[in-house]
Amino acid sequence: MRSVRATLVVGTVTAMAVVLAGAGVILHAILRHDLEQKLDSVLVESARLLASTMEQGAKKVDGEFHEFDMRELEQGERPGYLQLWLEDGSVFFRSRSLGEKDLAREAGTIDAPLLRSGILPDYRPGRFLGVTFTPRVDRRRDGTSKAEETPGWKARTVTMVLARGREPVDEPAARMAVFIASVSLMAIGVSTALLWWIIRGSLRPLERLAAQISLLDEHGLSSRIDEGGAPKELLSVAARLNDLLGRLDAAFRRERTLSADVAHELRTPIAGLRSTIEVTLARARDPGQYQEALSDCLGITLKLQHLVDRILSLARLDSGQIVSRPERVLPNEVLRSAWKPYEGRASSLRLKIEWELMADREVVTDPSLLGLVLRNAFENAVDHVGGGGWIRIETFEERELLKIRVSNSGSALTPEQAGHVFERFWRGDAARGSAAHHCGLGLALVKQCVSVLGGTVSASSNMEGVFALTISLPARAAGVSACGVAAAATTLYPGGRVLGDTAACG
Amino acid sequence: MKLLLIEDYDILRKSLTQGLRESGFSVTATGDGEEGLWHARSEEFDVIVLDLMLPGLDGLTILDRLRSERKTVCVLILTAKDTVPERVRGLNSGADDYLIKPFDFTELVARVRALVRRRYETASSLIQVGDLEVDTRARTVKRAGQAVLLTAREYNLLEYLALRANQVVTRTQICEHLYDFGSEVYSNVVDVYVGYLRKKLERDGWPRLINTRRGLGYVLGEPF
Repeated sequence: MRSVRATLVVGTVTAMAVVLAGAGVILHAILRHDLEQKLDSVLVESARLLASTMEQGAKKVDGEFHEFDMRELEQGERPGYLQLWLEDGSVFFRSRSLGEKDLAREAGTIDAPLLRSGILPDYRPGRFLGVTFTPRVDRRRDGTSKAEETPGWKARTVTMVLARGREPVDEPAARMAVFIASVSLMAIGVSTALLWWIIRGSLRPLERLAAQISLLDEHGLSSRIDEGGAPKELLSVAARLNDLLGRLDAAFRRERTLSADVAHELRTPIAGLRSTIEVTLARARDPGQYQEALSDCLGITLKLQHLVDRILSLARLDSGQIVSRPERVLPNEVLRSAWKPYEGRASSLRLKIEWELMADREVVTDPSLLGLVLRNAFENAVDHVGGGGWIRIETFEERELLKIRVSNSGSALTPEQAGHVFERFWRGDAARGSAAHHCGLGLALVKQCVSVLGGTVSASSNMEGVFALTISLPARAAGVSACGVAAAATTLYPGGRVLGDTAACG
Repeated sequence: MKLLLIEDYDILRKSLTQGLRESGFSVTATGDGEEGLWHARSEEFDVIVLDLMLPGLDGLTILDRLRSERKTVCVLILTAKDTVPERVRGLNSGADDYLIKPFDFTELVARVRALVRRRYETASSLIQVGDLEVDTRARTVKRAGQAVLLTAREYNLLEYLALRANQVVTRTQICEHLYDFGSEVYSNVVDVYVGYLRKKLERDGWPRLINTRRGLGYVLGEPF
């Protein structure tokens, strides 16, 4: 696994090495070129001086080489070389350093001498200058020349090749190369150490962050990452992590609370079951008593089953296992069918049921989920309303939404408490309604189901003790206008009346 | 022993009432907090078995009100709330014991009996009055070292008298505190059972143990 520190150091040092190497090569090349130019100019000057010392008469060519500093052309450790030829190829002069050897006779003109690098006769690398020139003509004081007066005289040309060792170029260049390389290596070394130290310091907040994160587990999600002293690049990371921790903490808390609530809700019915069985078995009884006890146990078991079913439904809704399967539905039919199981209880409680339904019209929704929503809403209303109260069931359209409102006269909740009714296992207060009928999951289930149906649900409670549950669903009519369907509708529920948009639609 | 059961879960209340009555307690049961408080205020109970989450009035409020009214009745909280803070809160509110649902019925009975003993300041389950020994745990009776066999009704009556040894116990108190006699306040059933007890406990020339205080009631042992 590559570390960020190593990657940064290796990357930076490599880049620096490439830059330094490039700069070193260029610097070295420039220096070498300058030194070569200098050597060449010395060669050119020497050649011009030599050429200027030569003159020709009517019969021969002379050279006054004594004016030329011939020391470098002597035999020595690093001799120079000079050789001159006449135009017929005969050697006119050969420096003592050459002995019997010859230089290559390659030359340019006096204005553009040929300069080249090559190997000297003693196998040293050298610089060669070749020039062909015409020695000046020997003249009298009056400016006349015997040679020029001689009939058939023709000016002679001389080719000169002057060679010197490249030491004045190569040695400083080599020293400079060593110097550049040493400085570069030192710079790389120092930079590597400095970079390592700086990056280690810069990454320390990251290590602290990692250490803090490593201390977190599902039990310590309430703690937060300390953002103090973090560099600004890490501040946003720490803030995001803290946000994530907050959400995780809330989720874990919800889960723990839910588990505790589930366990709590199961305790009482299980206590009832156990106590009934233990008391019954404590002594021999007649068949009627056994039958009664078994009947009580069955009642508890059915309630437990109801509770478990709701918990399971909520878990499935949470995990997305339950999805909406929309089809064309007549909401009033679903309402009527969902109410049926509660007719008996409503009648025995002498409840007044008020139906205020608009004319039935098709909507596209999942009828079984809608039925589940309505059954839970009705059960909640019937359980809370109390004997002699009323339940009102209304439907109406508002801003392209189908609204179903189930209200009852039995609210013991304050307007503020009404907002909590969708929380799982929430009850108004410790002095609750009835443990036998409520587990606090019905409306939580309603909210989840309505959400799957793409709608919303709200609850309200007023000071007159009226609790209202309003379900809003997308009213996607299947190609028929709301007005048309409402106007054509004739079916009413018993005791109900058509309300809503029909009048407004005209 | 007179017991008030306040529990809103119908079937649990029903089975507990039945079981506690069969264990010899006189049980008044209700599923409503307000009604429970009314009973606790208007009658004298040895023990109250109290659920916490109740309709009308929650259990802790009932307990607070009873304690603020200096009611010394023993209270056993019976609840599904099982966390340490909840138990501490219940006990700090003045409860004498705390039992978490679900529970073993025999444990509930044992705890209720322990509270009864505490109420009558009898630390041991063995009550000794002269040469009479009543083992409330084994529900057995010995006199002068010899076992005396009693029916459940006879035993309940004797245990109640033994818990209040040397005190006058009225017929009304007996009827109120013992389920077996609850509906027979105006009959002579208490006298009949006292007669049965005397027959079994004062045989073989054993000295008189249950004394009658005419117009008042009975005393086990000698009154102060």
